[in-house]
Amino acid sequence: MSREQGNSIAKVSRRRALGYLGAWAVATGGGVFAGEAPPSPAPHGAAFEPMSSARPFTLGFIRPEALEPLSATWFRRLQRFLDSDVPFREALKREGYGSVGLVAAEGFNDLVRRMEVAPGLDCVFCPALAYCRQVGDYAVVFQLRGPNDRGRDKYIFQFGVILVNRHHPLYRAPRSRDEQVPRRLIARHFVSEPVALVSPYSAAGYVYPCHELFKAGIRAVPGQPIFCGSSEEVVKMVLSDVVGMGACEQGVAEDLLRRYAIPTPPEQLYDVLLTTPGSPTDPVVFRRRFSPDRSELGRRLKDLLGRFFSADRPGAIRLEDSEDSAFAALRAAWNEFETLSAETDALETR
Amino acid sequence: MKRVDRTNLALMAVIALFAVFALGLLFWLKGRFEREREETIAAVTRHFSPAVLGLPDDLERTFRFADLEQIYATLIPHNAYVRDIVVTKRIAGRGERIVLPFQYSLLHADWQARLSRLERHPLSSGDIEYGAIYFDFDHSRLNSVRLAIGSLAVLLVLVLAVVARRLYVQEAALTRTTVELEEKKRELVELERLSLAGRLSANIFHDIRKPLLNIRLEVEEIEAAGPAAEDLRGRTAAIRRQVELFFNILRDLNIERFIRGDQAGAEFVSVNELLERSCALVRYERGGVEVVANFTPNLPPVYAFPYRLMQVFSNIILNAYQAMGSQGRLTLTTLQEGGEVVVRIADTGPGIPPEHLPRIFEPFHSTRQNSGGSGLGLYISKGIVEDMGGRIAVAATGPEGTCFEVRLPVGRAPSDA
Repeated sequence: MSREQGNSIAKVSRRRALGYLGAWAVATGGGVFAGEAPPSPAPHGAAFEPMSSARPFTLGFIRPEALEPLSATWFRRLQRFLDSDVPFREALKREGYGSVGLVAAEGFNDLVRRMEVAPGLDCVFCPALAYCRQVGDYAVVFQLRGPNDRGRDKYIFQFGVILVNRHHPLYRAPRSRDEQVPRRLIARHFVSEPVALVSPYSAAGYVYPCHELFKAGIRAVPGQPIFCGSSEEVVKMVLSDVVGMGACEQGVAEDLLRRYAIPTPPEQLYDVLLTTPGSPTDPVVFRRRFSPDRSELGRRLKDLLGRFFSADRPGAIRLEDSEDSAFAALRAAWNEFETLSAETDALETR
Repeated sequence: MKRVDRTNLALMAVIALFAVFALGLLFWLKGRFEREREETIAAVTRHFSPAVLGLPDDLERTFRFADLEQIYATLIPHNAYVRDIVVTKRIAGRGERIVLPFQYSLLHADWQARLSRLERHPLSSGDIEYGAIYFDFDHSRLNSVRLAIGSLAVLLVLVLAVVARRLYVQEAALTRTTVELEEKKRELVELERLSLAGRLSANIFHDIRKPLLNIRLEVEEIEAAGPAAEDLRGRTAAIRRQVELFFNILRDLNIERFIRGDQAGAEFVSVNELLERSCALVRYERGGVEVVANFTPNLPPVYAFPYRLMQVFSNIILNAYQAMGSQGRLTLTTLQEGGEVVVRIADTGPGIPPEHLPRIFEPFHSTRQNSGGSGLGLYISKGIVEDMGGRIAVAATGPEGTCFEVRLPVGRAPSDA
């Protein structure tokens, strides 16, 4: 390897390390400044600009891969965009805030905890399940809509699939009348072999597939789950035959094949065994007192977010108006899933 | 000769030094390329450690494709030595699976055969092989250097071969010239000896002329002294006839003047007569050769040195006799063509080999080097004829014989020209 390449790798590594350090600083700093305690100088000062004596308006999000393609860099741009809007800054001042601060949660539970525990977060880009799990006082304002997502009128859904590659025994397995592979057959493989999944908190990439098998009365907790972090990683795992079976969002595999210009027809590479019911896409929530119908700050923020997404749209994601009721079904499914899991665990223990 | 050798040796030394320097430089470059290539392999291999790929039974802490692609994007584009890499991971119970680029096996149904053509570097941790990197090396730079080394070596060999050939050709030419010089030297000695013999013959003819004159006078006086015995009278008459015959021969041939190369002035002469006298001059070499004379009567005279022209004709006739080896036919033809008298002397000998034909009028060229030929006869003849304003040439030659043609201007003194 040439020296230049070595240097570039070292630069990349350093940049990554600084990125993690910055994210940690943001998270830590955000946590400190979001508290009710009297404001004090930020310990590192990397996350907020400019510093002021007033506490920041916190914009929370989870580690980047959970909300891909919304990256930490994209959130920094959003932060600068909001800060640069004078009416918004004045609205913040009227509400007793200084500037906009970013809070990058380290994971799903961390984000839920930060949403629940005082002082909470003011505006959060969160996974749908995180919103359903937390018990804070938040109102859904938007839903993120990707190119594969469906629905309208404040109800945007994504579907989950269980797929296998062409080397898997269930590839082109006999179908029932509704064109589905018998769930008991799927479950047998689901629990006994490595399965690529998005994350334990992904509705389409974990909860709904398991829930669907549970509903059929099958104990379908994956015996060897491999959590890949994103649907795209799941598809790559399956198509490369590292694992034979995976669960992810619908449409990601087709996108991937298109993006990599793979000429083979999808049906010759993988087989979708099961499609789950639609689950709501990830929401953007405001602290309820900043709900646009109650607060000038909320209205202004909603307007700015809409404008920012129009101008800087990562991965063709759009913002769609939404409301809390769009997540009722997911919340119910989650509760049922937890209940069924607990029952199954109890049976297992006994 | 030594100077030429030194020049060639200096040239060869310069070429050899340059070639050694260039080859050294190229080998250094080749070594450098190969070293850097090895370093690249080591660096790429380091980036796919067990912490990145995971061991074969380690699927829960497995790699991320995004991370692998990021490493690839950092390492491979614009790499001087590696065109592409394919990374595989061993998975317990499943064998080797391609993880970078993930689409490789999807794009190439024969991916295993393709990988077998690439250079494989196993990834191992202790005794456990957890994957492999297949390198598609870019050999273009290394091949350029290899090509340059090969070309230079070939060029060096070619130059040395050319110089060696040049030396060989020079040496061969020198040897040939030396041999020819030695031969000509020997021929000159022979000519000198013949020349001396000729001059001596002239003196001898002159000297024996006097005693023979005295013998003839004595015989005439014996016969005039009165009647003698019949027997004695018959014997003196025989002596007188023999002496007369000798003088007739001398008169007819004018051999004395011929041998002396009589430098008397040019005159108008009859070519037919000179041809007859030339035949008579060399008749002792005739053997069984039939001589046919196709003379055109009443030819106009030519202005020439008669004895020199006789030397030309007798030389050609003598050559013809020797070529025919005492058997065959010699045809002498004279005729007039325009303002020229043409003499053709044709034999039925084996002809002149084509390779000798361009050189027969050159000095010291002879096809009878081992049978007394001096190689000067035709050369001298050509000079004599051209001095008289004429031309001499081989009109025809082949297996059926050779015909020499001499063309002389009709009755024109040089001053007339």
